[in-house]
Amino acid sequence: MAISRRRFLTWIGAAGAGLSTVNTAQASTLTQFKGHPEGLGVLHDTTRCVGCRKCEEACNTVNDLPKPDRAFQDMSVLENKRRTTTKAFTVVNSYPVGSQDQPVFRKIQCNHCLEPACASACFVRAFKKRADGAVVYDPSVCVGCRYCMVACPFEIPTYEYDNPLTPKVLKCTFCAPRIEKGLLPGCVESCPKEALTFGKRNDLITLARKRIARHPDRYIDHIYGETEMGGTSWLGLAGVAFKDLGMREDLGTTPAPALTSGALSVVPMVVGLWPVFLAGMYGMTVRREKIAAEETRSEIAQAVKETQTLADEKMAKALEKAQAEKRTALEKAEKEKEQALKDAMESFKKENEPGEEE
Amino acid sequence: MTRWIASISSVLIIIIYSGVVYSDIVTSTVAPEKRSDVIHIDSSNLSKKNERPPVRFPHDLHTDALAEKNEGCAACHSDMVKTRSFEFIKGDKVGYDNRMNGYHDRCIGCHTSSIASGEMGGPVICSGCHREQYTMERAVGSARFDTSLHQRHNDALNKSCESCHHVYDTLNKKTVYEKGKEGSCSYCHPEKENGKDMSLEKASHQQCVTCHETRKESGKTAGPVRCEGCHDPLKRLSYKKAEKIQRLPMGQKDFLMLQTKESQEDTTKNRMAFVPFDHKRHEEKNESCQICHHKALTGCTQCHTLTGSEKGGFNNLEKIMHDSTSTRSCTGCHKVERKAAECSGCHTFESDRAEDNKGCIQCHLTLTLSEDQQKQAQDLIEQNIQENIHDDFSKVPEKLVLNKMEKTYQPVVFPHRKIVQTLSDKIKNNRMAQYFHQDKNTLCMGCHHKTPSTDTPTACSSCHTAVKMDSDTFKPGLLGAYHIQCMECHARMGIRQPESCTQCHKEKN
Repeated sequence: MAISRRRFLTWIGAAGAGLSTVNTAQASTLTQFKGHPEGLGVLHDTTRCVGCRKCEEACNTVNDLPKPDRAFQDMSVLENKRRTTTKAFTVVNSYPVGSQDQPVFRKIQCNHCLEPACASACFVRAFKKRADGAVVYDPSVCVGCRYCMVACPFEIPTYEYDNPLTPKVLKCTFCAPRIEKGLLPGCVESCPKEALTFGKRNDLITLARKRIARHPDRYIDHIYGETEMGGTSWLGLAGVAFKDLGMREDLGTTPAPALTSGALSVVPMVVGLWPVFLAGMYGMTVRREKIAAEETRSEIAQAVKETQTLADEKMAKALEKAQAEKRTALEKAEKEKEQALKDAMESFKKENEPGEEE
Repeated sequence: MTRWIASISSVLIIIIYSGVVYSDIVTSTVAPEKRSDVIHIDSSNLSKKNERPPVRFPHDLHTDALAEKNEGCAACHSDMVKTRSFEFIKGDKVGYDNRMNGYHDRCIGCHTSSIASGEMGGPVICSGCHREQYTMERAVGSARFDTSLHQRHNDALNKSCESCHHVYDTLNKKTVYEKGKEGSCSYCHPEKENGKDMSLEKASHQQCVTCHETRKESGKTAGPVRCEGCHDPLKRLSYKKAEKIQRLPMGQKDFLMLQTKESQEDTTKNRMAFVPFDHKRHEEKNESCQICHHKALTGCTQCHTLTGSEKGGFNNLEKIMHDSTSTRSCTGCHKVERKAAECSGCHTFESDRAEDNKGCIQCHLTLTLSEDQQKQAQDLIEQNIQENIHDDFSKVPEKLVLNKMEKTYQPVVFPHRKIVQTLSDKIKNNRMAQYFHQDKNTLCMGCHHKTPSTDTPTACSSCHTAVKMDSDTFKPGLLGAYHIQCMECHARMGIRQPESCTQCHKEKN
């Protein structure tokens, strides 16, 4: 279908006008969400962790998880780097660091981000960020799409692939039921070295800063999770570079929802406004063209008719003239014929008169 | 046919390409060798038309090569004996072209003649010396002089200070010896040439290397003449240590009370308690006087006044005495000492900031000054220290049973007296530790912290309790307090025991 230039420009103009009416999420991310004021958190001080795995054992007990193949006292599991699994919401890994003779240990679990990527990616609202800081999961609405696993920058959520009928996404729950009852999370309670300190997130940041100020030789001057991905409830301190402990330093401070909110905010406009606008423009231009076509046609018809009439008249006139001429010609011819006859008669008569002797 | 050629040749190209790129043959940059004798010959400050990269010159290599031919420094440093100058190209204002030609003529000339006479020579083409990729790197260590080296020189030169020490007579423009004015070379000779004074490098080479060279030529025992001998850290480790280091008499006091300059003039002007300072012991402990006397062999207050002066770089007295980041200040040096394994078990918990620790009174003892009272202070300190050495800890509980946290494990039998005794033993041989632990209760305060000095400190559980939701975030719970205190101390002091949880507390069955 050939689109006229005018039609094309009209469409573009309508789309642009539609765009300008949309309030993109850029404006809303000028202020950073610093967490709920009463939000809780845990400070993990990796300089204290000795890799005893009591936290793993406690998590296993508190969540009624199946006992693992290798006992929690078996320290040889630390030879490999492990990930959270559906049977282990938290694991401790050992990271050998060149500058020290002992490896550094770190506990991995859901970081309960202030603006969780999993909650943002989930289109059925299975993940929710609670005011007390926990990011909790509702299996009853989950559809098993696993977008949360794709979205999580720390690769935490795990999926029950071997459960065909009622698979769930599993991760650390921040012991939400225990916290509600006024108990500490299982891992925090069991850590002998108090490498995990529980408290209000704001207090923990003050505590971390205090530790760094008192012992600048012991700690890297950075609290991991203070601003990473917009902030997390689980914070980390380390005496070596965080990336040496498998903690990504390339995440940036933009919260995960803000990364996609720009594009997502355009969707209602694209789906709602544009069809209406564009259909309207289309309709108007089509109608206008139709009318124009109508007018043209009628004018043409008119012109044709007039021409026809004129032509008919002309034809009639010409016919008449022709007939008149024909008549005159015929008459003339008659006359001439008569004349000729007469002349012939006369000449015949003359010839046949006496006088002729022969 | 062409298809075959194309495919085979493309495979070959890929193989060769990856082989070349990922192999070490072409792209290998072997790390340049770190040498302490590398001199950078770089005239780029004279002219912008440096066509070739600067040269890295291995001096020892040449010294050795010339030694094989029985030639000494004079082969290149022709004026050495007379002027004691080690300049290769004479004169400051030689100019770029003259410098270049000077180097080229002499270096390449010598190399060519060596090769011509059948011996080993050096590079004769441009890229032999002017390399794009360096094979050696300058790693010149400090040629520090400490009391042991000084003693050895003293012995070798039979105590003739004038052999090395001098002052500069600006009128007659020469160096003269002045008794009583001996000091470190760096007091007058700056690190870098400043247009007025000869640089430390030049001065020390002139003084040291020429002396060593001349002694060597006359067959006496001499110090190093090769760069490596003074500037290579590994070589320095193998130096002989002088057996007995004699104290250098410069009129210094053995023991004095530190005070400000203002109160030296008028004692009534004093506002801060005097600090007893055992200068003799500090001399014995440090490797060189320069560690504290960094600009002159005088008292600190000569330059560093109470409120700061230009002479002292506007570093006032408080700062130079207490700056915890400097190894030259009292507190700074003591902080470094506390990091030793014997001490850091308790001291690791202290804040790194001196300002946070409230031990002022340990040093600022007395407002009195008379000679008798100084002597009294000294005696009192000695008395306290001696008492502590013979202290018995019979009042200290021998064993404690820690049973507040029984769950998975049985109670801990804590060898309390043994630990206190061990700590006391560790400070026995350290005079500085003895001074600061004159109050023997300070040994307790490492673990029984945040309480005043007392003979009967309280149990851990009187401040630390089980962690709950409403606990103070800033204070560890009892479980954490026990483990942090014990395990951290053991780690810092290099104590490997215990190696597993059950060594301190057996499991409950």
